Amino acid sequence: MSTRDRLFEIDRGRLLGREVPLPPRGVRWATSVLGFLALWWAAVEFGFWGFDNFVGPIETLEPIYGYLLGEPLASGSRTIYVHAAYSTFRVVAGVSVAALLAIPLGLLIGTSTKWERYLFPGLESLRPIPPVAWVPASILLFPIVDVVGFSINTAVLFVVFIGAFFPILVNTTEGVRTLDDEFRRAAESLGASNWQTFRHVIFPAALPSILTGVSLGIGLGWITVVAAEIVSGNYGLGYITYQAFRLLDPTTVAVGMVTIGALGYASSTIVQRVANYATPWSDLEVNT
Amino acid sequence: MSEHEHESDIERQSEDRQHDATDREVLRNGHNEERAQVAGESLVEINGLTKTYDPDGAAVTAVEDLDLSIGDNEFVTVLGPSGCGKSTLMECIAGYLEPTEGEVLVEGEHVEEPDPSRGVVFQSNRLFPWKTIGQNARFGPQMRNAVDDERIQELLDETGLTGFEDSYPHELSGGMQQRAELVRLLANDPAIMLMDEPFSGLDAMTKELMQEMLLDIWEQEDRTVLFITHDLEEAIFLADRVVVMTARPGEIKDVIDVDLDRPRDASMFTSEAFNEHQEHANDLIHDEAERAMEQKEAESKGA
Repeated sequence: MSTRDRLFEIDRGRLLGREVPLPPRGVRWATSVLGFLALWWAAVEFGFWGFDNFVGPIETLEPIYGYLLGEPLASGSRTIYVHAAYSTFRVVAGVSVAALLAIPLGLLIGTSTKWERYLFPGLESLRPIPPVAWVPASILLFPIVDVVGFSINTAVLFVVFIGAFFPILVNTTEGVRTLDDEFRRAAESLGASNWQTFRHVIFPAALPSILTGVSLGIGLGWITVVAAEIVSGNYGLGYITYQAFRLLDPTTVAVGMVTIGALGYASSTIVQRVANYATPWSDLEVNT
Repeated sequence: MSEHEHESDIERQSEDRQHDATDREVLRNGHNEERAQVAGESLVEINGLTKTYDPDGAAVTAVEDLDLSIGDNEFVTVLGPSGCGKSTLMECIAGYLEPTEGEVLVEGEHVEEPDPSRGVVFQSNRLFPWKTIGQNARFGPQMRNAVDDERIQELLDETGLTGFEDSYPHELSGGMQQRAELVRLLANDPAIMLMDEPFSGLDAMTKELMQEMLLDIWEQEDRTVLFITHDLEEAIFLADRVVVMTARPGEIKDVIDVDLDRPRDASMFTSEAFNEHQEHANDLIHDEAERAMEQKEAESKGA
């Protein structure tokens, strides 16, 4: 098939696609989620692989209800709210600190060759280390500190930070680098100073990419927080999920997983909303 | 300004241009290089401009020993095959590139960096996608804290963009985007407009309308235009003088004085005088276009 034919084919596909009216958003969402739950249910019901050792979605509904009313989890004394709050706080704090450092650093590396030469090689040598591999070192390096009655596990915070830092840094740098030079030139020829060019051209041009980085960072934040909590500490959804496994309580394992999924989904939706609002010119879909 | 005054103003300007044309007539039989100089006061003076690029060891001379002067309020088009160094010439005048040899003077001063007095329109639309049409239009004056809302409104009205102030560039058609970019430039009131094939991406109809609009705007206000194009008809239709460039390294092959009356309109495309100029330009450009093509083929084989 020639390139032209292929193009026509794509056009035709688009037109045809448009003729079929899409069901409302809520229906699509429900179909997707319920479809997944049905697969889970079927896998347990018919005992695929080791699924008969596990619990189905219906069995987890009842304990979820109880936990939502405030029953403590996994023979501990804390409610699901406490664990969820710990994990959420760790993700938000770790990703925020990562963004506060990575965005300015990325802008600096992207705009200045001099700074790039000093900073890039060092950072690039740390980047390939998977965030989870930082867990043991972090536990040795960062203590648990007490702040007004809350115990803050700085090792977990650091692992989340490291997980979110690099995606934000790389996306920020790329956002600056991929800007066509002519936009900068246009600004200069319209009389913009260096600072004005940065403020009105370079930063807004990089913003969609920066937000993509933050969105990826949040996603990695949830991955890393759970991994770190499994190894260290007495709080959090990762901790409770692993604790339940050790206590041979698959229902609570499932509850932990569902809760992590729901919170991760919610946080990426929030970031996407913020991104759409902050960059109304951009068609870019910000995905996790 | 009343309608009447406005018209007589245009008349006076076109009379001035008639005089210029006769002045140039005198030079017509002279040497090429002399005709690359303008009669009377020049605003832009380019002496022995050479620009060599050296990307990976193999030096490429984009422009070689080019002399050109552009008069105040003159409309000069630069016509040449693709890759002949037209854009390089513009980038040196804009202050984006440093000449390898020679000099570019504007009002007697060396060009060292971009300046709002030398406005630029690029080949691809370079409206800021993250700013609305209104924000784009105000950009230049805003940088100096000197936004004149009335003037911007006037320009938006003139270009049919009123009501689109809050739209983002990607929501507009190609022609509207190009008009908006012209508004952004004019709002900044540059003495010189450097335009690098600004209409090359537009369809034929839109292009013709844009050309007429550009001439309209130019005739109303004192402005010097250097307009780069590979479109022969466009070059003649717009210009006081057409500078024909050779294939790389870019030098001036010849300069055509276009003595068509002003104001011009699309009906002139079929006039005898226009056709004569067109034939002349065609003769000049044909060999160069062929040479440019051979160069390109040789390069892609070498690569």
